[in-house]
Amino acid sequence: MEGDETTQPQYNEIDHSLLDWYRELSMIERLRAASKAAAVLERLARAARNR
Amino acid sequence: MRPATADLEALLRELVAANVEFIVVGGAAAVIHGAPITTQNLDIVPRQDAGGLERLLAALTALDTRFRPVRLDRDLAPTAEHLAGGGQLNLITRHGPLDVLLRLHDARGYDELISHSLEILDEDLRIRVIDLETLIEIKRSTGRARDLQVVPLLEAIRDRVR
Repeated sequence: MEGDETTQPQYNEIDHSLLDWYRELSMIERLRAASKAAAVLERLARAARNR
Repeated sequence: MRPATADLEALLRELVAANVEFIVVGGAAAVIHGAPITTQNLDIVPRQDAGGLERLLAALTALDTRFRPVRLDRDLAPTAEHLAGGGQLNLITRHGPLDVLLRLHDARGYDELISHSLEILDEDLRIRVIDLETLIEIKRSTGRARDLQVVPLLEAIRDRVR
């Protein structure tokens, strides 16, 4: 995307142990983990904007 | 009160309980396939037959859904006409953001994607999700940085499953 400074990680930079750990979770556990993490990040970002 | 991030499980349970037929795509599909990422919203491609759209509209109404962003001068609920179209509806529900993609960026809808999806059952929750190979293809073809970022992760997951 033009103006987007995010960079794409390379395949060999991926933490494969994290993938293995995540794969041990059930589908529902993954959904819960992703939702909770997003909510925390959003709260932190909102707090940072209000500082 | 509508939260800024989606409770993915709660949203999926509400849609399934309402007998809405849909395919999970986007970041939630990546999570389901095992990508350790976060996503703010649930993306679904719904079936657009007459009964399906009625059930989807009823579910959205029960979820107190509005188009986002909601403002004082813009508090708009989705209608049957919106759901019958071919666009992408950015909505907010009482369980957070929900994007109803009537067509993907490449114009594929439910009927074209159903053969590229699989059903997953966990406990009592049975949902249909886009298959990993097609998700990689979609993420790669949008050209958006946030989609491209996930591709190496998904490829690594695919290689571990093989």
